[in-house]
Formats: sequence, C-alpha cells, structure tokens
Amino acid sequence: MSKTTKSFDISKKKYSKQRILSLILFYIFPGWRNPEFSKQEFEIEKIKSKRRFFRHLINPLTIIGVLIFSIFIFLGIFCPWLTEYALQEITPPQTYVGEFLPPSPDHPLGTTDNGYDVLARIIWGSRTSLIMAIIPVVIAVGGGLIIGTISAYFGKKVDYLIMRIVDLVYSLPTLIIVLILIRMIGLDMMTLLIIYGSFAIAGNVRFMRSLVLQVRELVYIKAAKTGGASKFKVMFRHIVPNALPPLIISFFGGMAVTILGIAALSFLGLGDDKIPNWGIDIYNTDMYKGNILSFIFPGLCTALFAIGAMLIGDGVRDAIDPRLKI
Amino acid sequence: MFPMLLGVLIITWLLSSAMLVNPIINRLGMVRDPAIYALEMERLGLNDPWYIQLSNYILDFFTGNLGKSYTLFPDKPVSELLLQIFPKTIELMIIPIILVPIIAVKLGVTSARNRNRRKDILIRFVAVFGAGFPSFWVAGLLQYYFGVYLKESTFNQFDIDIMGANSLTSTYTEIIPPTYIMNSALTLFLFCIVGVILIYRGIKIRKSKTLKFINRRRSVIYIVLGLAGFIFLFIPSLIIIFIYPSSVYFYCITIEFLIAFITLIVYGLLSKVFKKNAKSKNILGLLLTFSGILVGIVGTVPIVLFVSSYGTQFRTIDSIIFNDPLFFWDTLGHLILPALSMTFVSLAGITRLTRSSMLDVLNQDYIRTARAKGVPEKDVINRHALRNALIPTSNLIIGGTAAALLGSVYIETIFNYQGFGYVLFDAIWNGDIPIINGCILYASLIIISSNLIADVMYTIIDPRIVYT
Repeated sequence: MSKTTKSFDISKKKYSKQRILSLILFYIFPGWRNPEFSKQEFEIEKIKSKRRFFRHLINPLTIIGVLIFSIFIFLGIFCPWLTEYALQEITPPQTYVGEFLPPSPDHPLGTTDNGYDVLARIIWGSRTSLIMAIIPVVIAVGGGLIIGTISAYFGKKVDYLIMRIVDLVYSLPTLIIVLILIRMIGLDMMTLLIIYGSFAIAGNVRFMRSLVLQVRELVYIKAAKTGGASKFKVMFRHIVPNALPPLIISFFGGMAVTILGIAALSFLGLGDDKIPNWGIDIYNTDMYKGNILSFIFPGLCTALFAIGAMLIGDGVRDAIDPRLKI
Repeated sequence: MFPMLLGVLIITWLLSSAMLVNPIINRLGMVRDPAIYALEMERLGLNDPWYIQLSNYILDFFTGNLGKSYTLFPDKPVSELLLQIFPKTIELMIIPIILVPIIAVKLGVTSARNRNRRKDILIRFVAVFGAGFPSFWVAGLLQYYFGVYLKESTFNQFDIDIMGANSLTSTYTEIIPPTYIMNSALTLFLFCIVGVILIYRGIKIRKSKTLKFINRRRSVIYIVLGLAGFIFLFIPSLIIIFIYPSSVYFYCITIEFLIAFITLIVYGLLSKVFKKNAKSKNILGLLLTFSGILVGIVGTVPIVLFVSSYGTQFRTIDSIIFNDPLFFWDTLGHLILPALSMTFVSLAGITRLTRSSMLDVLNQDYIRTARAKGVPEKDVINRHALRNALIPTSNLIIGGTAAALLGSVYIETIFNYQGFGYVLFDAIWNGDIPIINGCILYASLIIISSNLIADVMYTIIDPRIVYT
C-alpha cells in the first residue's frame, strides 16, 4: 500500500471547488472515481481496492433495477398513506358491487369486475407481492445453503443420497406437482408460499454444493481443522461465509421467478382472493365486456417487479464473477 | 435411470391418491344409494389396501396399461388420449422449438460482439423484458388486441375468430388406430432410425484411413447378440405370424428383425475372419451400408401405408393428406398467436447464456491467434468462438425443448388449445386420477430422457468431458 501514498502528495496542490465536490462524491458514492489519481495509480488501485465490487455495480441497467425495486418497496411500506381506500374496502367481504366502472376521477384506473378500485388494489398488492417474493426465496436459499453445505462437506454416502433425491425432484414436473399439492392441502397463501419455496430448494442445493466443493480444499479450512474446530463450526463459520456472495444472485433471481410463478398460479385460479393480489385481478378480468385496465396494469406491475429483481441479480453477477452461470 | 423411473411412479401414485377429491362423486354426482357407491368403490379397487393398489398400478404400467379415464372422458383409455394430445402440443410447439435457438443465439452473439455499446444494452433490455413478462399476460394482450380491439375499432371489418375452435372432438382425427398397429408402426419408425445409423457407420468405415473398425475382440459380442436376437425375437415373431392372422406391419417387423440380426452375425463373423487391410474394410463398410438401405426401405413402406390410412394425427399434415384446404388454413390461423407469444417469452434465457459464454470465449488466447493469423472476422466468430460458446448453451436448448414438448399450461388455457397442459390441468381440477398419473409419467419420462440426451450430446460436442 506504500505506493498509493503518492496520490496524497499530488492532491495537496489546491482545494478548489471541483476537488471538494469530487471528494464529497467520492465519500458518498462507493464506486466514484477520484479524477486526480494518475493513470498508473488508478490501475494499481483498480486491482487492490475493495471498492471494485461497487464500481462494477454502477451500470445503467443495475441502476434501473434498483430504482424499480425501491419504488415497489416504497409502495409496499407506505401503502396506507398513498390511497384513499382502506384495505377493508378492496377485499371481498365488504364491498361487492358486481359490475365494473370505467376510469373516472374517483377511480383513476376504473374498477375491477367485482367493483374494487384497481389503483388501490395495485398499491396494496405491492405489499403482498413483497411478502410473496421474499418468503419462498428465504426458504429456498436457506434450505439450499444448509443441505448443500452438509452434502458437499461430508461427501461420499451422504452426498450420494442427497444428490439422488435432488435428481428425483428435478425429474418431476414442478408446476404440476405444486398444483396437485395445493389441491391436496387446500388454498391458503402461506401454504402455497411454503410449498413453492420448498420445491425450489433442489436447484439451490446443487449451486451451493458446487460452491462449497471449491472452498473446501483451501488451506485455511485445513488450518481450522487442525486447530481443533468442530465440524459444524468449520462448516458454518469458515466455509459458508466464503461461499456466500454468489448466493445473493440466486436470491434475486429466485425472487423474479417466484413472483412470476405465483402470479401464474393465481391466473389459473389458485390464488388467495381474500387479499389484494395482482394475479387474482388478472384472473378475474373479463376481457370482452369488463375493464381491460385491470388486466393490463397488474400484469405490468408483476413484470416490472420481476424485471427489477432480475436486473439487480444480473448486476451483482457481473460484479462478483461474470463467468458464473446461473 | 430405472430406479428414477420407479421413484417417479411411486411418488406420482402417492400424490395423486392423496388428493382431496372424491372421484366417485365427481363422476356420478351426489350418490344417495350406498349400494351403488360400494359397487363403484369395488369396481375401481379402492377398497384394497394401499400396497395392493400400488403394486397393481406398477404392474399395469409395465404391461402397457395406463388405465381408463374416469371423470373427464369417461371410459377412454389413457394411452389413446395421450396419442391424441401429444401431436397437438408438438404441432403448437414446433415453431418455438425451431425458431427460438436460432434467433436467441444470433441475438446473444451480436450483443457479445458489441459489449457495453448501445446495441448490447438494447438487446439485454429486450431479453430481460422477455423473461420478466408473464407468458399468459403477453398472450392475453395479443388476444385482446386481435380479438377485441381490432374488431371494435374497425367496426367488425377485421374479425378473426380466435377462440373456441380447438376442441378435441372438432376434427376427423377421431380416426384413431388400434393400439397394436400404432405400437408396431412406432417400432418400424425406430428401425428406420437404426437404418440411418447403419448407413452412416458404413460410409464412415469406408472413408476412414485407419483400420480400427476391424475389431476382433468385439466380433464375439456381435455374433452372440445376433444369435440371441435371432432365437428370442425373430422365431417368436415368425410363430405369431403363422398362428394368428396378422397385418402388413407384423410381416415387415419380422423381415426387419431378420435383416438386422443377420447383419450383426455376418459382421461379427467377417471381422473375425478378415485380415486387417483396406479391402476387407471396404467390404465391411459396403455390408453395413446396404443392410441400412434395406432396413430403411422395408421400414418406410408400411409407415407410408399407415399414414395414408390413419393419418399422422398432426392436424395440419392430415388436412393436406386428406385434401381439406379450409380446415388447413383454419388450424394454421389458430396456431399463429400462441406460437408467437411462446417464442417471445422463451427467447430470453438462451440469449443471456449465449452472451455470457460468448464474452468468456472472446477473451481467450486462441481467438487472438486466429485474428493475428488473418482469419476473417466472420469466421472467427462463427467457427472459432461460437462452437466453444455453444457448449453450455446446448444443455439449456435441450432442456427448453423438453419443457416445450410438455406444452405450456398458461398458453394452452388462455387460447383454449386442448393440448397436454390443458388436459392435465383439467384432470387435476376434476380429480381424474388415471389421467394425472399417465400424463405425469410421460412428462417425467421425457424430462429424464432429455437429461440423458443432454449428457450424450455434451460428450459429442466437447470431447474433453468423460463420464466415468
């Protein structure tokens, strides 16, 4: 690091406005380049700096993704203050008009065929879909992390057994099995989310296993073993934190897949209609006589949500290691 | 593969029998009389303990009996239903299966060549949009635009009847061949493939410069295989022909057996007797080529006969064979929108994977060497880079093909197209357990075999990979 101290000598010349501005920007934005570094130093810095990760993250597509996603998080958190309609007014038991209304000042996007305000349902639905996206992904990634680590660390018989089970799950058509299970257990949002998440574990197990197999052979793991660390401490203190960053990708990618999958299930008539839900709005729209806006806008929101998550996942992938294929 | 199949069988049976539906009430309505209810239970074998039901199901599967549909199409054999459904789905999906890899690879290559320029960002944006939009939403919007909006805005001048003409019973493809004829036609089709392989091998042997094809160690295996096939397959089929009155198909299968096994035995004997020189290599190659041509001719004639009498079950081809232009254009018109929306939705994955692996390859040393040698840029991309970049992509393409063969439930439901996904969804909704079991079984068979094909393709494309 002694080479980099030269940059401070050069930068002592002036404290002009531009320099202060660039310094402020440098400290606020993690990936900002300091223009006063010389070209050579910049090269050294590029290799050594830990900020390289963030510099790769700043990319027009990733920024668009973060913007889209933060809009939905904002809507999800502050939805009671953003609409005139309370949650009770747009869910089944209370108001049932039985016919739709075209767009008007009261209802900017009209009402659904059941008589609920479309805009209000979209805004309230963003909270639902945040929950819908996060719970299955947490189950899938968490389960994949634990099972994959165990499978890769112990190897041999345990590994063989777990990988055969994963192969079996892979060879079943997932969507159809989910349909049958829902028919078996009954229609409820939480059970649907848990089923969906637990089926996505298999893919994450394979991914996590391949990551752990790379980390397992490194020297510091052997050092930890000879130091007398127990098996589970080696696994979850030493191996997992080093294999963790690529899992962020599968977290965001999984979010996109899940939100699309659950919207699709709702479209088939398997959604929970007791809560504001974009998929259910699409399902209930009568395309010939009803309000087409209640078909277009919830679908658009679903797509934007998925695209946001996907763009963030892609950005993180490019920043960590563009060769990762997931 | 076999234990996997058994596991799939058991799991599908357990799941479908644990479904919360009562098939008897679904079929007969509310049954007041307990005696009828008990009779129906007895007929279906639902009173037996679970292990007997399961073993019956598995034994039935291995004897080729998938049961009869219970509620959806009462008393229709499931295997017959599958024969009706699969051609429809393939007919719908053949356009995406062919178009998607071509377009997607092209897009991926162009975006990798101009990395981080305007073109690249545009293509990535489009790809992400294709992955992000739900397929049923895209399909629904297309349907709304062509079916409702255009009709209303042009005052009924532009009126396409998009919905409701795709039911199973609307066609003459109700002529369904008996199962045994269908099976023998399939066997003959397999023989045709064997013939093509034989011709290929023969030409390869004749053109090869080394003498490795004359292998004396393997000659014993060929002879034993040929003799075993002769005794266990050819002689029984001869007996069947003489005892029972049978059709052209059985005669042809017997002749095919004869040609195939005699070729095996002769090939084994010759390669044991011959010396290793160019002349004997030529004779072996000629033998394989001619027997391949014979197998091909004997196989294709009855298939042509079959098609001309029963049709191919593909509605577009059938309407050409039976000369019904109105029906042909009608079916084709109904195929356009679903196929288009399917193509748009499934483009994204392959494009993204091709782009990332292409970026990987373009940074390698041998690409720089090729450019330095003076190879034209077009050849550098198409020959040197793309072939190596396609290795990871081929897996995804095969997986996507297998998934497309199973049909998309959403697209088929929104266009009311009664293919595989639609019927399966209907069966789950109505609790028709035999159809569910049969369909899932075929689906997982396709998935498992596509995995196998992907593994084999990997070793062909990339010779460095060896499965131990």
